[in-house]
Amino acid sequence: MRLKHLLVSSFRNIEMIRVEPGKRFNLLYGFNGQGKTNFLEAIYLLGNPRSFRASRLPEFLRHGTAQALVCGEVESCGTVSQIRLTLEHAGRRVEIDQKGIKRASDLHGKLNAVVFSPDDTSMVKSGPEARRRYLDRAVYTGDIGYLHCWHEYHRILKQRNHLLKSPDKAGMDVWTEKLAAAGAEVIERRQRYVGLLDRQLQQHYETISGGSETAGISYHPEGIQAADRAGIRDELLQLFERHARSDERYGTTTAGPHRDDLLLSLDNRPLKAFGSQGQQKSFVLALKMAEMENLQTIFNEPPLLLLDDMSSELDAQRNSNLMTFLTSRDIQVFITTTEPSPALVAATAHCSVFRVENGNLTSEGNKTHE
Amino acid sequence: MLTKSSSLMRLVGELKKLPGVGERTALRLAFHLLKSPGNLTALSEALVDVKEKVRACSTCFAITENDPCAICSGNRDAAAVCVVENSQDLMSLERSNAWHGVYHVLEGAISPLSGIGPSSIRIAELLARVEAGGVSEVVIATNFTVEGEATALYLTKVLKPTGVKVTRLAHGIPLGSDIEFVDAATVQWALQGRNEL
Ligand SMILES: [Zn+2]
Repeated sequence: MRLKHLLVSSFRNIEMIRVEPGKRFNLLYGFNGQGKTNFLEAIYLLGNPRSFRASRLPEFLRHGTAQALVCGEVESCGTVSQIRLTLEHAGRRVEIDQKGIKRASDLHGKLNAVVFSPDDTSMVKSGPEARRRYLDRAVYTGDIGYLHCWHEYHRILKQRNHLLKSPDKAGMDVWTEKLAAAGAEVIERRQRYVGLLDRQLQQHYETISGGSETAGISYHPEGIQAADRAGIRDELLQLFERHARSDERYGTTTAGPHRDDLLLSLDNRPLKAFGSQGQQKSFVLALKMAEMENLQTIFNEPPLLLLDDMSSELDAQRNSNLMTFLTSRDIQVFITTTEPSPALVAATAHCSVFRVENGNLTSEGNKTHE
Repeated sequence: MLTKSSSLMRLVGELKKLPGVGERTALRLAFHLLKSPGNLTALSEALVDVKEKVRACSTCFAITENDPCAICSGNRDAAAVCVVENSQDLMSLERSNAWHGVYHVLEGAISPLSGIGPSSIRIAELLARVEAGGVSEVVIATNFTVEGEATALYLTKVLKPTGVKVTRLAHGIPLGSDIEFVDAATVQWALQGRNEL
């Protein structure tokens, strides 16, 4: 996939930019706070219902404006389509080739992008919620059915939690059964996708780090041993049964896939506790490469890669390992950095360089190395 | 200039209470009514009548002017009861001309978030109808939303012990549509509910 043209207006600190990105490497440099990440976020939002940053809709709107617009021309499998995203206080609207889409899932696969940002690295150290958010986003990009069952699960959860707080608990067993059925689908889809990622992870970890440790990612939902949906549903029912007392005491559902964690390990030890800073960065980047590999298999073409704040994230050795990997593949990459290090530019063939200043983007032309 | 208490502004205010009607539409409708030839007696009478004469059928709870309603008192198969959330759903099923049984209108679906529990809708009345005898099949036609599905499950649980046959309306790919353009969730449902040919 390739982004051929992009227009962003009134989005965060961006007043208006039009840009024709290069086919391969696009380097965006500038001081912090100038809008580099906003630019990547605009691209990401064209293909995803949610941002990779934890942000609420009003934050997308430029100060004093009521409407933001992101419009992109995407080339995919030989055809070009236009995605137009309008953001307003009341909500978001997406049109594909001038036709409004009815459901969020209609956008699925129209512009695939994998992001690697400082937030991703911090998910290793933070609580389970950040890893769950990562997991849900990753599964969604590779599995169109995931969004529906995820929404359904959370709607049922909301209803059940509300009932737990009410004095009259009539109908509780119905909500518990519904939650188990929807939860079983969420778990089954997560397990399947995490299995795919795990199979790809090791080779990419070795590529990036040069190390020989064994990198693993696994998902062990609480109380679940089964691998088929009916079995998972039965075990979930038992789990809810065991937690019935505490659910009632706390007025909320205290166990289930909305509480699960993702396990990241190095040589079978938790990465969080035993991995060095460098190992953690290599790990997360390898995870992102595994995601790219999976999306390439599913959609028959590579996704875009958005690398946010490269200079702070990777040291020279890892940087050069990553560049070697990326130059060997036909991927459109957007890199933001505070300084366009000569090494970075030299490592990348066909690099378009842009300077970012106060929400503006200035093209500094193409640096081609053969 | 017109004050807030003028009859025109009062009309605009009342129209704005209708679903989907904002300030502009309300103004447009009000001016249309104001300028329309003839008097508005027919419209105002209809508005008053709808509130005074229309009530729920004491058997099936569909909206009706005569109790029992035309369907309950008509030549229909009273042994087959189709359960719907509201009278609007009943009307769309009637338009299809495909149902020859009778109905039961729940007047809602279970939703703790809206404070609606099993006892707030007409479930006890349905159970009483079935227990009174003469009903051999209950077709559950609640919506395919989380709330409609939960209501269907609740109904199944309370109806099963009576021995009545309980079925659920099938859902799948809309007729005349290309599978390519049907969303994934619908395709999955259609696959799960597939029939042997
Ligand atoms: Zn009736």
